[in-house]
Amino acid sequence: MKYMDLIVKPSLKSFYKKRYISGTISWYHHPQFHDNIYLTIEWLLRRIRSDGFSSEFSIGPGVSRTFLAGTTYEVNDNGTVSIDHKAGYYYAMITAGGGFGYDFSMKKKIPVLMYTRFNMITMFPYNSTIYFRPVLELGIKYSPRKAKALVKKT
Amino acid sequence: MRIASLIILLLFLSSCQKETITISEKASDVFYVENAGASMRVLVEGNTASNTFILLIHGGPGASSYVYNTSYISRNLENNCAMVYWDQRNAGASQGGSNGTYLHLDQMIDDLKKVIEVLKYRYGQNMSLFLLGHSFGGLVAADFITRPEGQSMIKGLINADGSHNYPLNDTLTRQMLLNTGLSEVPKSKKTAKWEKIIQYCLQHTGNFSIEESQQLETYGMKAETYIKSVKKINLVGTVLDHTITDKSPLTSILVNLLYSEDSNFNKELAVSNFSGSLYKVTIPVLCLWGKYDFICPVELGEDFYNKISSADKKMVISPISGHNLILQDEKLFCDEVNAFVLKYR
Repeated sequence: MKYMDLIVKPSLKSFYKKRYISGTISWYHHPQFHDNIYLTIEWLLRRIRSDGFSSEFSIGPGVSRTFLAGTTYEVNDNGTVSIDHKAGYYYAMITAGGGFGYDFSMKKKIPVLMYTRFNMITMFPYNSTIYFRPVLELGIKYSPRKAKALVKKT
Repeated sequence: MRIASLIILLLFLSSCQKETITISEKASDVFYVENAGASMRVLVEGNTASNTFILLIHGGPGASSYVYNTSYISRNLENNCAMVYWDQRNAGASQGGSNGTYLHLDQMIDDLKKVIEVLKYRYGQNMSLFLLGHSFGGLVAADFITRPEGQSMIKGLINADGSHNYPLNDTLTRQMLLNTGLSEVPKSKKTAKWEKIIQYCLQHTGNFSIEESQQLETYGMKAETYIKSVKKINLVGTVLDHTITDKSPLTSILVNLLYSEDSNFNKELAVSNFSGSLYKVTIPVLCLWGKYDFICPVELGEDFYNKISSADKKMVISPISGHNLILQDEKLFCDEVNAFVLKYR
């Protein structure tokens, strides 16, 4: 959801500054450790220069569910062993990150933004402390609305 | 569409929990044992077909088993038996939620017992199982084998630079730092560093607080690096070198270590002492010690060796090792352990 869009002109350079609130579902796989699916709601600030290059910053809360990467056993007091098929944990999360990209709609009539973003995700309470993990995100954003607008202009 | 993808992914992840048990000369199985708020990672690597298993109880608390899984041990020990690398709760790749209240010695003994029960469930009740305790792992092992059911579950114990008595440990560390310091000052190039240690030992003479105990350990770690004949190792480098092959979760290893190092658990450990109950130990025991181990000095090993009642016991001292004989004198370690398990399995 975009909630602000404005043009700023400091000195001679112009750029768009866009602020969004976005919902994202992500997943990573760490062999022998866990798989993690997480849902985040992020506040995102993106600046797009007139030559198409962009930079962005995002931060937001989320929730995560891990799935352990291996058979998980439980042993009861009688010594009976059983398998927990849904082994894993729910964690609260905060993510923050920044990155850069290129908006092809600024120079050519292609409604696509390519970007790369370095995120730091933190999960808690992980063993009564905070787990952090750096994540590199590569993305392509296609805007159907922008595509329509570009078609109308031509 | 997104929801459908999510459901497919969840079904796929649930199916990842399929049980695989490998009986071969080159097994590598990872599984988890869940107990009291913690899911503890266990890696079984090596010759599971031999039916001989060595369960490593790593140091710490809060260190991990990753550091012990070297290529030398893989080539020279895991060909004869299977090594079981267990990450204790709040350590290494072990995971959980808000579980700090369970971090105490009794719980760790219960964890160990359950890990053994799962091993026997997976690989057979008649397996030959040995415990290998290093440093803090030596305390867990000492607690376990002095309990009634402990010795009946294993064939023998390997105690490598382990601590079974923390108050005595601190006294012996101080004494060794002081004596070695005084003899090293005239001949060592590290005079200033030794003098600092000597000063500290002269000012802190006994009834050590937890801070003093931790400071003595820090000096102990540094002191062995001042001795020329001790083989230098880089523990952090060892973990980093194997990051890709071992698929190590580095940040988990780090946050678990930091949490456990600062936890209240250390207050309980500071007064833990099993010297008085070691007479109950009758199973075969192999003690391996570094001559220059300041953290758990040789005299601590001798206290352990002299107090157990085992008829089959042996103590070997490595002249090139400090506190990490397993990594500093890998040949001696593998030769002695191979001979020990071959004899008593």
